[in-house]
Amino acid sequence: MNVYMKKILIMTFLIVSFVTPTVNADSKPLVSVLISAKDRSHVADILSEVKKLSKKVPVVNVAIAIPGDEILDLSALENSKANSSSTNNLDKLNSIIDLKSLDGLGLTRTKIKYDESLIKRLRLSYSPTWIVKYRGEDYIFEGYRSISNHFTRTGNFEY
Amino acid sequence: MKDIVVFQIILQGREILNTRFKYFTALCLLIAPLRLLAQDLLFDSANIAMHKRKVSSHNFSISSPASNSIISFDDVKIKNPFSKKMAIIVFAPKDPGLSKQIEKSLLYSIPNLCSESRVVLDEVYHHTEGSEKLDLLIYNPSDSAQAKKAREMRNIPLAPWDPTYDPSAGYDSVDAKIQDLARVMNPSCLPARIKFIYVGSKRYKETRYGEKVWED
Repeated sequence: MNVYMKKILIMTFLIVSFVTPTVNADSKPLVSVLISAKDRSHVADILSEVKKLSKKVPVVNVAIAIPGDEILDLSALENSKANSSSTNNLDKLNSIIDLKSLDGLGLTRTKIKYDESLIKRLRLSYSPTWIVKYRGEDYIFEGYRSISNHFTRTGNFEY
Repeated sequence: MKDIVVFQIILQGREILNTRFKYFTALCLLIAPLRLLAQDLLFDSANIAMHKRKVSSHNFSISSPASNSIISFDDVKIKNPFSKKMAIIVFAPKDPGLSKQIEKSLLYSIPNLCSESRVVLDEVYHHTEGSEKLDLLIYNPSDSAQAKKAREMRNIPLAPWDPTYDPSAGYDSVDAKIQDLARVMNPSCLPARIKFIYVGSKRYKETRYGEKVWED
């Protein structure tokens, strides 16, 4: 490779690095969903919708809301290894959520929060609630079983 | 081997930078961080653009005070610090950076500074008694220019937007009610001033943004 070719390649590298706009994660819609865990069939139904939707658009957060007085020693669950199936608590959690259905989405259990602030802040009453983050703004669809009609086949968001 | 190639590229790059393209490259280096900053700011803003609600048979049951969150000692009732709240189990991508960004986006943050002055009218199809008296100025108290002008406004209830306000903490104080009202009004930027007005027989929610806020 002669010197001029090298210089051209280096200049191309510099131009591409600094001039080409960086990919803005916000320009593509990102979907989160909050599901009430009071009814296992409801959770399963919405998770199947999540799977369908994830073929069009990334579903980046699935949050399951469980009334605190209904379940388990969540602290023990929190200390257990994510997605392991050894503990009794995890069996209980499995009775509410089909954890395997989340595997296909590439999601893992990240944390357990003991508060209702998200629900209160967004004034949510009905499950599921979908939150679409698009171009720096949130579009909330509360109580809608599916929001796939708001996305084109190529994942563009139409509100 | 790869490191050697990268090192050679860096050396060659430095040679070119030091000769013919130094001004151009310097400009690129100057612009790049500015663009990154703008993107970060955009991502941090989490304005609620739309909230559609449909009644569903499934709801989020918030633990009621009647169940286990209040302890009663004869006439004295106190909040039970050990009562269980709702647990939210979050499943997210393994990439912690992305999870953090998304979590942040789910919470209200302080609205951006208005880039232009405008008046937005949203038609309201019902009359709420007493709302004609509402004239609320919502501003960012950490912006000294806004805060100074807001203090000069007489006879207008002020709502300094507090990004740390947590609605779940309770609604008893006047400040909490003001913070709550400011969030209900959902301004897209600050400063904003909200009134309900009649134009003919139609009723509108009038939201002024930017410099229009300070006009009578």
